[in-house]
Order: sequence, then structure tokens, then C-alpha cells
Amino acid sequence: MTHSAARPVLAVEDLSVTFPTSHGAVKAVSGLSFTLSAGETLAIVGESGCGKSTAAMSIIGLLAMRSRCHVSGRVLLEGQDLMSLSAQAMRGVRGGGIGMIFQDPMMALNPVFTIGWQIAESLRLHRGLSAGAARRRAIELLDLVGIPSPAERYDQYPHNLSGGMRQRVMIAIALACEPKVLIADEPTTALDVTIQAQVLKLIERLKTELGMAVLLITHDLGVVWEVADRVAVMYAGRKVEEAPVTELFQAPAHPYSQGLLRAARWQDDASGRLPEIGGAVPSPLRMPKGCSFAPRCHRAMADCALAPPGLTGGARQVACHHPEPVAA
Amino acid sequence: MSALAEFWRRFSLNAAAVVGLVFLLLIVAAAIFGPALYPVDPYDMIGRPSQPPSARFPLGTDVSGRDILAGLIGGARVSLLIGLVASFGATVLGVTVGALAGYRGGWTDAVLMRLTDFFLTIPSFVLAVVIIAIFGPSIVTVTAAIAVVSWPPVARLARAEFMAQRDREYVQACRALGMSGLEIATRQIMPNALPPVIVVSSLLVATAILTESGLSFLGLADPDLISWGYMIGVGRTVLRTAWWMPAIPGLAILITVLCINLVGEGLNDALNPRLRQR
Repeated sequence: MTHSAARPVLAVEDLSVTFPTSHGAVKAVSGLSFTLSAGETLAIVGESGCGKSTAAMSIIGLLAMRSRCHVSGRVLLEGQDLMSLSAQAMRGVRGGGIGMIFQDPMMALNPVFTIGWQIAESLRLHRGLSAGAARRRAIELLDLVGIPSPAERYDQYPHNLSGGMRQRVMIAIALACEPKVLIADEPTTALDVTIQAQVLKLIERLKTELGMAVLLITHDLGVVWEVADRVAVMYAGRKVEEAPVTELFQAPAHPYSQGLLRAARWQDDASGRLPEIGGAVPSPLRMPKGCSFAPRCHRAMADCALAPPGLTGGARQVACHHPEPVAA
Repeated sequence: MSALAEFWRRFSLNAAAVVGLVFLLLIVAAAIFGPALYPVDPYDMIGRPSQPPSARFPLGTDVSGRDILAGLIGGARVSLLIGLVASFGATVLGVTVGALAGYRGGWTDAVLMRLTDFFLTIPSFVLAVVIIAIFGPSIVTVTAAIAVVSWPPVARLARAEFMAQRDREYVQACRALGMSGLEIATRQIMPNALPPVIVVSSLLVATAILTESGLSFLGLADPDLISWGYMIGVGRTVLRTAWWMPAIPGLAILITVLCINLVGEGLNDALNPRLRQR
């Protein structure tokens, strides 16, 4: 819950991702900056298409591989700029320095190999372990992520496991080489609510035990409340607010964050109606000149349409011309 | 091992495939052990020409007085060997081209697929004849020619499989683990893409045997080797007086090709993921 002042493990500075399309350039992420310290969880929240997954993919350099997109800015892992690394050095970082888990654990495991083999593969690749040593370590990892009788499970195939178990296997693979940073892209979206809680607790426990930093990408505010230390809210490719989780939940400063929270807590609303945010996200091809949220904002004034608001500094950041007054 | 047991269970559901497999194994056994059990040299002129089947020559003799049963057994070796090696070569070539095209996409895909289309537009038998005419008839050139004309369908299939697999999330996960493109293509996608390819290349064996028979019949195969097609070619001149002479190797080709097709169907049932629900 406390914002540690330690040197950040991961620092993202002014990250922008632009996709060229036949209708013109689309900016999926613009000017995203954040830092992440060891033992800390930062959640990036936002609705579908706000650029949160795109940002996560560009951090580990997976975007440029297939799509012809332009990524600018700097990504520093323990002070080393990942953008300047060669393709081969970057492969060493992926899985070695930064681990990643995905939304759908069924799809993210190769159906034709045993789960143990898939964990051991990562160890052989990055650590150069022998087959026997990789097997022993893989069984340890299965045990670490809370899979019962790991030695027997080692030889099972993904389809023999439940969704929650598969996500545990994914976590074991991501953790195989003891990464400094774990990027979790919607890790619980495909799971039952009861399993969600177990997986979140597991990530939380491993973060403390292994001293990792966790970057959690999600649209589920309940998940954010459970595990995050800090929250960054993204809207239409920009970070609109960043704050420690309790502060953001108690007193959101940006009108968009307010709208999200109201919608998430609608059951508490006396009227029993879902308080939605009016309007829709602007098309990325026709972004407003000013604040991208202005057309939907109940606090918008004339100056909101003129120039995009900058972020205020400090631990409590907000990008709004007329933020909600926050009690200090 | 449970995967293997499951494979056999699905394969054995297809009764025709099991029958085909049994007969195919008998033919293979005849090719391997036949010369030891029936030690007659198929190249040796050991009797009066064009004899009907008798106790001494169970299937008779051909126009040069060679034992037809010995020829049939020797020919099984040649036909099966050419069929297997040619379809293996075509599979390796086709999978390499298809995997590269499907995984890389872009201009690699465009160039390789236009090349594949080029081969598909030429009648394969005619192309094989041309290749053998250029390089001369020997068992190596015949096998190579059959492989060269058979790979395009395999390439198209492998390409489709690799295209379908490369955007799956597990491939993305492998990239996130720092695997290189070559590792992902050969170690992760290949095992997922192979089952339909195995089915098609099993059927290629049958086509290769037929192509080889056609070439031998036209006298374009290795003149020093007796294959089934060669025996038909030799026997066709006496078709009206000694019908069994071309009919016996013809029947051998028919049965073998039928068995391979039945086994291929069974493999399709056992390996095709779209039929897994049965």
C-alpha cells in the first residue's frame, strides 16, 4: 500500500505507439510514463481499446515483430534501455528479466506438450540447465505455484488441467527464470470468480516471496482493489490519472476515473440503475484537439477543447484542466 | 503413452483402415522377407518364356522366361522404396516451403506461393517425364523427379496450418519467453501442424507408386530394375495371349494403393482435430 521510494526496477518514459493505417496514423498509446519498484504492484486500468495491452506488449518488444507499428520512448529495466537492445539481447530479457502471463491460459499453453516440458523448456533456454536439472526445477516451480502432487502433474497435458491450474502453470513458466518484473495481462479475466481470488493471492504471495515488481493490466476494478499498490487509469491511449490505490478509490480526481468507479459501485446506488458514462470513446482517427475525454465529460469547459491537459507531477498525478478538488 | 493409445483407439474405429493396414503390412513383409523365402533371382531367365502359372512357376514366366513371382517380390521392394522415399522427400520439401511461407508471411509467402502455383499448373506426370529425360533414367532420378512433382499440395497445406497457428496465443507466449522464430516454428508450431500433413503424405505414397508405375510402363524408369510398372510394360505386348502377365503386377499395384489410401483415411480419422469429438 505504501509508495516505496526505492530505485525503480522498471521505468517507462514517454512511450508512444503509432499504427499506420490506410486512413492515417493511429496513436494507440501516447506519452505513457510510469515507474515500478521491486515488491510493488502497479495496475493499469482502462476499458477495451484504451491501449493498456498495447503498452504492455511494446514494453517487452513484442509489438514490432508482426505489425508495422512505430514505438518511441524509453523502457528502462534496471537502468538498461530495452529499446536499444539487439533482437537477440531482447530475447534474453523476455522470460529472463521480464516474465509475462496472458489472459487465456488454455490458449497460451502449447496443446501438444506436457506442462512440465513447457516449464523446463524455458529453463533450458535461458539458464542452459540439463534435462534432469530442468525437470527438478520445474517440479519445484509447480509446487511453488500451489499445484498439488507436482511430480505427477509434470507429465500431464494442458487439456488435463482446469483453467485455474493452467493459469498457475503459466505463472510457473513466467517465473521459471526469476524475472524482476512480471507483466500480467488480464490474468484472471478468463477464470471463475473463486479461482480469480486464488490466482490473485498466488501472484501477491510470489511477489512478496520473490521481491518482484508486478505490472497488472486489467479492466476489473475489484481486482485492482485486491492487489494493486498504485493505479494508473488510461483513456484513449493516455494516462489520465495515477495515484495510490486507496486515494484513487476514495477520491478520484479525473472525471473519467470517477465515472469508472461509479459504474463499478452501481449496486450501492439507491436508484438501482447503472450510472454509465455518456457517449463513446472517440475514434482514434478523429481524436479531439483538446482533452480526449472532453466530449463525454460533465465538467468540461471551453478550454478543455483547445489543448490536451498535461499531467501534474508527484505521486498523485492527474491530466485534467478542471480536476475534482481532492482533499489533501 | 496415453496419447498413443488414444491414437490407436481412434484409428481402430475405422475397420477398413485396419484391414488396409493388415494387408499393407503383409505386402511390406513380402518385400522385406520374400527374397529369403522364395530365393529365385527375378533377373535370371530360368524357364521357357510366357508359361502360364504352374507348380514350378507359381505365377508363370514372362516374355523373357523370368519368374513372375520373383519379379513381383523384387518389384515390391523397388515400388515401395521409390514410393516411400519420394513421398518423404516431397513432404520435407513441402513442409519447409509451407512453414517458411506461412510463418514469415509477407513477401516470403508471396514468392514461395507463386513458385508453388507454378509447379501446380504444370501436369505433374509430364514434368516428371521431362526431368527424367534430362537427367537420365535411374532409381535416384526417378525418385527425385516424383518428389519434385509431388510437394506443392503439401506446401499449401503446411502453409495454411502455420498461418492458423502463428497467431495463436501460445505462440505469443513463446515469444514472451524469448524464443527465436526458428525455435517457435520448428519446436512449437511444427508438432501442432504435422497431423494433417502426415495424412496427406501417406496418400502421397500411393500417388508416388502410381507415378513410378506409369513411368516404368513408358520405359522411363531405371532399365536395370524390375518394378511393377516395368512388368506391366513388358507384359502389355502379350496381353491377348497371356493376360495374367500384366494383370498380376497390375493387381499388386491396385491392392497396395488401395491399402495405403485406406490407412490414410484411418490416419485422418485419428489425427484430424475436427473429428476429435467422435
